[in-house]
Amino acid sequence: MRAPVKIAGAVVLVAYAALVATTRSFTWPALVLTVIAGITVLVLAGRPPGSRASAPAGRGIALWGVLAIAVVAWQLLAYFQSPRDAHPTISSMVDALEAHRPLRGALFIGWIALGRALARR
Amino acid sequence: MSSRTVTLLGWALLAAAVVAVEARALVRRQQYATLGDAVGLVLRHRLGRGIVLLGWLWLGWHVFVR
Repeated sequence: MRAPVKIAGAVVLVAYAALVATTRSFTWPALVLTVIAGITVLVLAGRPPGSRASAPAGRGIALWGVLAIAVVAWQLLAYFQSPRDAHPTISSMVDALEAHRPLRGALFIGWIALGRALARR
Repeated sequence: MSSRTVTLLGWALLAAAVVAVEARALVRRQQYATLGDAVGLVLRHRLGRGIVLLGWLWLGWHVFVR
């Protein structure tokens, strides 16, 4: 992709993230903006035709599975205990971050980047 | 030690483990799988790809909408 297109894309993304940062949870604007962004990423960043994700290298795949299970288990352990302040979950920790609008915008950009990376593999 | 401290310590240990395993894989790229490799393995299969991408959409809804 040419540099001007990349720069324009980055500008659009930052502006869009700034717009999302102004929305509040449980509102229609937040829902609509998030859905539009999600669908756009999946459509535009889709895997190029004919490509296929490369085979994984080496050992350690099972270790990632163990770590994933450990994260889920710790999350569930925290989730089913109360009060939430005493047993923070991933969601409650992220909530604390996104209470600040610049961080909410930054989290949105991170989410878009993650989606693009996943869709293109 | 309070419950909050124990829980946060657990999160910190898990984060450290993820970073350590990823760092090892990045240093010894030919020997160990990175997180990207592990996710790529799931994404190679149509069902896994669907689940991962739907999971990503759900994540966005969970963080920014709900």
